[in-house]
Formats: sequence, C-alpha cells, structure tokens
Amino acid sequence: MPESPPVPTEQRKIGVLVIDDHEGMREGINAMVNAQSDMTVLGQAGNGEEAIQQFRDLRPDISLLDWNLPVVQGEDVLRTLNAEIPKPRVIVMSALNDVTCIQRALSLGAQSYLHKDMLRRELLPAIRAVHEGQQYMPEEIAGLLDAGN
Amino acid sequence: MKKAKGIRVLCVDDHPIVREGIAAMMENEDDVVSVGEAADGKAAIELYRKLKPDVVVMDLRMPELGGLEATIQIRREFPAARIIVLTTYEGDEDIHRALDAGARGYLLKDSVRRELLQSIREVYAGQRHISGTAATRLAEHTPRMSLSPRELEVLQLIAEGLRNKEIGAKLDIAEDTVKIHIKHIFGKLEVIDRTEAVVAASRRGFIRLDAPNNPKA
Repeated sequence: MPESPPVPTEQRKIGVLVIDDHEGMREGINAMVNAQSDMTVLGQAGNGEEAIQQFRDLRPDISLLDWNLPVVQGEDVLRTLNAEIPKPRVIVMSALNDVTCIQRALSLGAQSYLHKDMLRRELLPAIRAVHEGQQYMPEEIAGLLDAGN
Repeated sequence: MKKAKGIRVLCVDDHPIVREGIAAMMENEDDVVSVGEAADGKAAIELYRKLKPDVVVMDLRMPELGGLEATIQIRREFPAARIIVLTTYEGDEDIHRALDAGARGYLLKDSVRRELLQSIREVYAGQRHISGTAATRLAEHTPRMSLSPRELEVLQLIAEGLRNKEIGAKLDIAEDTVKIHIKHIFGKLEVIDRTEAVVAASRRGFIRLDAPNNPKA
C-alpha cells in the first residue's frame, strides 16, 4: 500500500492557548509564538472562566497558564482541565518564584513552570518539549525545587 | 522601516515580554512610535533624561524602584512629563496615589489592548485617561481612605512614643487589639513600621507632631 504523502507542515503547527489577565503579556507571547513556523496561537483568555471555555472550544496542544488569575485561579483552572482530558499539556507561568506554588503546579500535572522573567529565553523550548511529552524545568526552577526539598 | 514622526513612547515594565507586547501594539500605528524600554524605575528615570519621550507607559509594580516613585521623580525633574501607569486594579487609593504622583493616565493590565493607543493619544493631547473600571469606581464617589477615630488615637499615642502595652492601658483595650489597629493603620498608610506611620500620617494631616508633648522629641 503506498504511503500517504507527508502532512503539510502548516497542519502540524503546535496550537497554543494563552491564558493571562495581562493583555500586554498576552500580546508579547502572541508575537513570539506566531513568529515561529512550528506553532501558532489558537486563542487567548483573560481569566479562569474564559480559559476553561476556550480550552473546551479550541482543544489546544499546549496551554500557557498564568498561575495568578482573576475569577477562577490558575490552580483551579488546572484542576478543571485535568477533569476535561487526561494529562492536558500545561505550562504554568508566574511572576512568583515560590517553591510551594511550583510544587503545587507540578503535583496538579503541569509539565513546566516558568517565571515570567524567563519567558523570552525559555518559553519556546518549553512549548516544544512539552509538546513532545517531556517535562521542561529551567535550571533556576529546578534549583528552587531542590533547595525546597 | 522606522517611523520618523509620531508620539514618542518610552515603555517601562520589568517583564521583557510585556515590553515586547506593548511595542507590538504600537508597531502598526502611524502616529505612535516606541523610542525606548526600561525594566525598572531607576532605568526609566535615566532613559527619560536621555530620550525626553512624549509619553511614558510605566508598570506600577517593579523591583528596585517602582512606578509610583519613578513617576514622582520624573515629574519633579520634568513637570510636563506625561506618564501613564499600568497596573492591576487594587483599590481606589491606588488610583489616587498614581494621580497624586502626577500620572496623567491609569491603565489596567486587562484593558491594555483596548485602551493603550487611545490613552497614549489622549495623554499626549493633554487629557487624562483612566481605564473604564477604575473611572467608574471614581465616579461612584468612593471616599478616600481615612483612619477611624480609634486608629487616630492609637497613631497619636505611637507618635508620643508609647509602646503597645502602654497604648492598651491608656485606651483601656487589650494589647492584641492595639496590634490589630496598628496593622490596619500600617495597611491604610502603606507603611511598614511605626516611624513611617507617624511620618506619613503627619504629612497627610492625620496627626500633629507636637514636640513638647512627645517624650521622644
């Protein structure tokens, strides 16, 4: 049986949902992600309630989730996503380097935790790694976890 | 191609991605151009001196030197400076403080995309811009923070140098209750210790520092 032609690259882009209440942050992430040939922003949400609805509507490959959200907190969003599908691929973003938050996010199944100051450097590799099914932990975050244990 | 003309904007935020996001929002506009970025208040002041932008968009909460203090310092040196502060809504006093510091615009982070360009244009034209939700709250005549009569009593006694136990004895309340009042006072005045509380309260006219009655003077 002949092999089917390879799927065009356009159709294999990693679909990303951006969840953050700061519109400036979302715009910056959008610009960064959409400039890549292998990923695209499918949608955005400014609070937890919108995030859950967008997730249901868009079924993104990766969700970028701000831990500190209005209406429904990031932690609760993650719980809900876990209830929607098994092992949703979520990268948590936060302005805090709080070990408790990091541990909490990971215990709820987040595959990566990025401080917002490191997004420029770490976001794209994190998206790609998590899309491949790997956990992605920058050195600084791993160090905090080690120190906290 | 760089825009030759347009409202020259300096963007100040401790998150590089936010600065990029804001720059991206301005990119397609003919009348607005980003001329510089800074990651904290101190760098903002230095860059302001160098670039003399038409408008500054500045995050309130930043490490080292925050947006409020940077606004005060820039306005002190450049009274005509047009500054828009960017923040999460945390109460009416926040708006008042920003406006008292000389900010001409108050922009909420969840409205940036909708309101950034409009706020830059309005502030450049000499008007004020306050984000929708914040403006509504102000219009609802929410009164500015005031200290309760008991809090004023406690504060006056702090200014006179009394310790918590002594304040409790004087006012016939438990020491724990004194501590609660002090916690509220610190929160309302946004200070972290007794000295700052006394200075802030005196500056705002809540108490009078009457030297002969102050045993610490």
